[in-house]
Amino acid sequence: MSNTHHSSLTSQRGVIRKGYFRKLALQYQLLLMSVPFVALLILFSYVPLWGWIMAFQQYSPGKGVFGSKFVGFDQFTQLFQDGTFFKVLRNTLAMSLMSLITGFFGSIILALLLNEVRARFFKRTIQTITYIPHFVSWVVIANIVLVTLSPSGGIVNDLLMKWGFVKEPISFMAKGEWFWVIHTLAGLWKELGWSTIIYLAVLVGLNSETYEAAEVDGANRFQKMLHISIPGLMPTAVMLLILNTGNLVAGGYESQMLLGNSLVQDYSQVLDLYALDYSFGIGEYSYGVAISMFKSVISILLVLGVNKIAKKFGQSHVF
Amino acid sequence: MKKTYVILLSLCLMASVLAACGGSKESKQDGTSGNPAAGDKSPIHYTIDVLSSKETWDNNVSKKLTEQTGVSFDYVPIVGDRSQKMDLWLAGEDYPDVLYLQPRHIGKYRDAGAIIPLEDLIDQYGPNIKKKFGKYYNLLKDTDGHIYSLYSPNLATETSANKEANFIIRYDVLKEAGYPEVKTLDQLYTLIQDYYQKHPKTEDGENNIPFSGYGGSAEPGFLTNNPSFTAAGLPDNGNFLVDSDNTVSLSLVSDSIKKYTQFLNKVFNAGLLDKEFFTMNAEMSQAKLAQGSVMAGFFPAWTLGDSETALRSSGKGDKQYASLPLLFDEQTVDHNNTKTPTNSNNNWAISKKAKHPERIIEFIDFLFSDEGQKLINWGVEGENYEVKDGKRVRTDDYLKKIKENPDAGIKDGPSGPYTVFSFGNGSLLDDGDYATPLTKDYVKSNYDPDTKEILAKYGKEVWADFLPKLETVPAYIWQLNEPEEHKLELKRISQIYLKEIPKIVFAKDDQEFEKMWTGYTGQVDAAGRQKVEETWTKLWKGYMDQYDQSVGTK
Amino acid sequence: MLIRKNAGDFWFETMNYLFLMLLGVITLYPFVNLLAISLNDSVDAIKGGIYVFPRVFSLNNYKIIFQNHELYSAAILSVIRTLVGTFLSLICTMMLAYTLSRREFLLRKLFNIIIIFSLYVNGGLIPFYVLIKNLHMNNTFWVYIIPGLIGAFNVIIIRSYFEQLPEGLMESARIDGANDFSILFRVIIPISMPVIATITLFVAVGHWNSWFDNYLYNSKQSLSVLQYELMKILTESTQQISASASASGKVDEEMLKVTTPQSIRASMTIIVTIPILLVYPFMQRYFIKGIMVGAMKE
Repeated sequence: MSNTHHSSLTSQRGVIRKGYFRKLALQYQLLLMSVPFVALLILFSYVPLWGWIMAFQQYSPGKGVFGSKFVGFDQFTQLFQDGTFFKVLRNTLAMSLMSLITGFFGSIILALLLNEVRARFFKRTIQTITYIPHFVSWVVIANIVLVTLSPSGGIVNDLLMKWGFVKEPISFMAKGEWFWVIHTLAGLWKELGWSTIIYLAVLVGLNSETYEAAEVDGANRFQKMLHISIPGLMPTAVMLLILNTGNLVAGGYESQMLLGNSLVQDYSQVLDLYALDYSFGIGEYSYGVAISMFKSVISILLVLGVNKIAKKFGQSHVF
Repeated sequence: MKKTYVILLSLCLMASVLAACGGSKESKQDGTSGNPAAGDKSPIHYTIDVLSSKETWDNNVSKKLTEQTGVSFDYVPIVGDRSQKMDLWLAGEDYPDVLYLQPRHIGKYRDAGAIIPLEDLIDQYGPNIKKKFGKYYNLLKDTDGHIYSLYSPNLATETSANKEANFIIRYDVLKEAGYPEVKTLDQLYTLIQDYYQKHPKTEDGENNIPFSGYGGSAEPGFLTNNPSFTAAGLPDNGNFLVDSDNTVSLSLVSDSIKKYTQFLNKVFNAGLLDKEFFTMNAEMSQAKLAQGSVMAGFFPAWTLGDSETALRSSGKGDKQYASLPLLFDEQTVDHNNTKTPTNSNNNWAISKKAKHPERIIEFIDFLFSDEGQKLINWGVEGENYEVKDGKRVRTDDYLKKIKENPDAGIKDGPSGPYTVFSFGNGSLLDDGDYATPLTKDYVKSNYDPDTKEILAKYGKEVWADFLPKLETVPAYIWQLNEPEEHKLELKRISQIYLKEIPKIVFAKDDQEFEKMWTGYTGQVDAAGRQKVEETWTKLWKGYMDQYDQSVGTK
Repeated sequence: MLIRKNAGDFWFETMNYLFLMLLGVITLYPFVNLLAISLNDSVDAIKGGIYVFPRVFSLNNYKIIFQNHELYSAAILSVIRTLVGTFLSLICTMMLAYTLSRREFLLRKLFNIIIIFSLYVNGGLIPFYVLIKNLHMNNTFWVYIIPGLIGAFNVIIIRSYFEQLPEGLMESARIDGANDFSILFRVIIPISMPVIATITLFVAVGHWNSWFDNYLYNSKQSLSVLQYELMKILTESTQQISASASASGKVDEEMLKVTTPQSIRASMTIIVTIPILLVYPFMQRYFIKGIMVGAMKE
C-alpha cells in the first residue's frame, strides 16, 4: 500500500497535464477520506431541502407536498409586506451583533488573562467554573436575571436604593431600550467561559520557546501578549467570527422569549420566534419555511461578504 | 409469494370495507379470528398515543376493561410538542392504531385519509354511544357528514364541586373587613385600599401586593382579556365575544376590556397594582402567592394549587385565597359558569391501520355503559371505591395511597386516555348516584380548617357554591376549526393588544387614557379587525345553523 | 527597570487574580443557586428567595427522580452513545478536515463550500423526519450517531488548525513512505492534541446533552437516553398542572404534588452537569500536551 503510494507520488509531477480525472484518481486516498463524509453531509443537510418547496405552497401535512396548492411567491410577498417583520429583523440583527461582538472580545480577553495565570490549579478551577453556566438552561438563567433585577426585592434595586442612586426601584424589564443590553449581558454571562475554551486550546499550542525567546529579548508581559498571543489567536478568532456572522439572523428565540414580556416586545421579538409564532402558532407551515429560506440566503451572503473582507485584509478566511 | 400476499391483503381490505359499509351479513363468515360480530371478546391489541410516559396498561382498571372487552392497548407516549408530533407522524405515516388527539389535529388527518369515518360502525356496534349522546349525536359529525372522532357527552346537571371562580381575595383581607359580601370590582377596590393603608407590609415584613395577576407569556390573556369577560359575566370565548344574535366581535377591543383596563388604570394610579404586573413570569407569580403577599387578583384555580400548598405547609392557612366571582357592577348578570353539551378536547380517532375497528367502537361503547363509567371514573369496586348507604365513596385504602403518592393512581386506579369518556363531574348515572368521585362531600372533606371556617362565615359549603347556576352553551368559539383566512390579521391584532394594553393601564389620567384607547382601537381596526370579525361571525353562524339542525331546536 | 517591571507585574497579577475570582463567583452562582434549590423542600422553594443555601433541606427531589428505574439504563445508553458517537465523529471529522487542509486536493474548494453552506441551510423538520424514516433509521441506535457524524463547524476548526502545522513535517513523513492515513494518524494527530481535545469536548457534550433526536425518532424505551428520561420527568411534572386546568376528566385537587417543575429542573441540571464537571479535569491535561506543537514548529 505504502509502496504503491510512494511510486505514484514520484510520478505525480510527470502526469500533471494528463487530465483532471487522472489527477483526481491519483488522490484516491484523499478521496477515500472525504467523499463518504461529504456524501453523508449532502444526504442529511441538502437532501431535506426539498422542503423548501413548501415555501411556494399553502402546505398542509395532511395533503403533503404533492397535494398542497402552489401559491408562487405569495408567502414572500406577505413576509416583506408585514411591518413587524422588519422590526423583528432589526431586533435579531442588533441582539446577535451585540452578542457576537461582546462574546468575541470577551472570550479572547478572558483567554489571555487565564493564560497569564501561573498557578495551574487556580487556572483550571476558574476555567471550569466559568463554563458551567453553559449547561444551565435559559429557563433558569432568565429566572435568575428576572429575580435579580426585580423592582420588588431584587438585589440590584435594593443596592441602588441603599447607595442612594435612585429613590424608586427601577423596573428594568419594563424598559424596551434596556432589553438589548440585559439580553447581551445575560448571554455573555452564560456563554463566555464556554467560548473561551477554543482560544485557550490555541494559546496552549503557542506556549513554547517563542515566549521564552521573547523573554530573553526582554519583552514584558504586554509585549508578549501583543506580539505572540494575539497574533497566534487571530486566525482562529477571525475564522470563528466569519462563521458566526452567518448566524446573525439565526440567534434562536429561547432567551428572548424567556426574558421578554409584552411591554418590551418591540425590542425583544426576534426572527426565530416570529417564525415559530407564525408557523406552528397559527399552522402556517409555508410561512415558516419561507422565513427559513430567507434566513439561509442572508446567512450565506453575510458569510461570503465577511469572508471577502477578511481576505482583503490578509486575514484567515474560511473559503 | 408477493402476489399471494397482495391478493390476500386486498381481500382483507375488501372485507373490511364491506364490513364498514353497512355491515353486510356476508362478511361475517370469514372464520373465527376476524369475526366482526358484536360481542367478540377474543384478545386483541392496539397502539394509542398518550401524554405521559408513566401511563401503563398494567393497571387494575385497564385489566378489568380487557376482561370485559378483550381489548388491550400499548401506549405510545408523546412527551413534547403534541402538534409537532402529530404532524410528523402524519408526514411519515407513523401514527398509532388509535389516535388520541385534539380537534385541531383532526382536519389534517382527515384530509390525508389517515383516519376512518366511524358513523356506520357506531350504528352497528355503538348503541350506548348513540343513546348517551341522544339529541346531541349529530354534533359528532364533521361538515362532510362523517364522524371522524369520538368523545363523551357532558351530562353534568350541576356545577362540578371543585370548580372555583377566578378572582381571588386573601382570607385575612376578608377577615379584617368582617367578611363582607364582595361582588363587584369597585367593592374589591375599596376593600384592598383600606387594608393596604393599614398594612403596607405582611407579618413577615414583605411588601403587600394589593392587586396582581398570573404572569408569563404562556397565558398572556390572563392579565387583561380573561378577567375582562369574566367581570362582564360572559362565557369564555377566548379572544372573541358572541352576542345574542350570534354576531362575533373581538373581545380584545370590546367595551368590557376597556372597562377592565380602566379598573386596572385606577388601581395603578392609586399605587395598588403589582409593580411587576406585566413583567413577571409564572414562577414569580407563584412565589408571590406562596409568600402570602398578594392580596387580590385574577388567578384561575389551577394557578393557585402549589402556592396554597406551600402556604398551608408553612402554617399560613389564613393567607390562602377565596375564589369569588366578581363583576363590573351589581347590574351585570353572571353567565360565566357554563358547560358545552360535549367534552370535545381530547378525542379518539381510529387510523386506517387499525384492524377490526369495530372492536375499538365496541370498547368505547362499553365505556358509555354505567358499568364502564364506574370503572373509568371510580375504578374497581372493593379496591378503589365501595358503596356505603347506597352511595359510592372512595375506599380509605385508596385515598391513603393517592395522598402518599400522586402517581399511585396511574398503577392502581382509573388512569389513561379512556378517562376522557367520563360524563363529567356533577353528572349522574342511571342508578341516581354521581358518575365521578368529585362530589361535594368529597371536595369538602379535603378542605383545611381555615377554608372551612371562611366558607362557613359566608354560609357556603364549597367554593363552587359562589358560582351562578350552570348553563349550557352550544360551544366555545375557540373549539371551532380556525378558518384559514385572516389568520395573520388575528395574530397581528393580538400582538397589538399585548403591546398596547399595558401602556394604557399606565396612563396618567382619564384624558390620556381615552386618547391612548382611541389610538389602540385605531391600530386594531387598521390591522383588519372587520375582516376577522366577519370571518368568525360567518364561521360561528354556520356552526349554529348546523347545531340547531342537529339538535333539532329549529 | 527590573524593579518597576516587577511592581507592574505584581499589580497586574493581583488584579488579574481578583478579577478572575470575581468572575468565578459570578459564573458559579447559577450552579450554586440550582444546587440550593435542588436540595430544598420543593413546596417551600415555590416561595422563592433561595439563593446560596437551601432553606429547608431535603433530598426528596433527587429521591423522586432516582425512583424512575428507566433512568439507570438510560444513563448507560447515554454513556455508550457519548463514547461511540464522539469516537466515530472525531475520526471521521479529522479525516475530512485533513483532506481539506491538503492544498493539492482537487476537490478542496468544492467540498469546502458544501461543508460551510451546510451550516446555514435547513429544510425543516418534516423533510428530515421523512428522510430518517426512509433510511429506516428510526428506532435504531444509529440515528444518534450517523446524521450528526460530521459536524461542519468542527471540520472547519480542525482544518484550519491542520493548515497552520508546518508543511515540512508532512513532507518528511511522505518521503519516508507514509500514506495519507498514516500521516494523519501518526504525525498530525499527536501534535494537534489541544484542538482535538477541544473538539472532543464539544462533540461529547453535544451527545451527552441531546434528547431531541430521541424524542423525535426513537420511541422504544430501550433506546432512551438520560436527558430524554429527565425531560420526560420535567414535562410530566408541568403537565400535572395543566391537566388540572381541564374542566372535565378526573381532577384530583387534593393530590399533594410531591415535587414541582422548578425543583425537578434544578435537580436534573445538577445531575447532568456533574458528570461533565468530573470528566473535564481529565481532558484538561491534554491541553498541556500542546506544548509539543511549539517544539516541533519552525
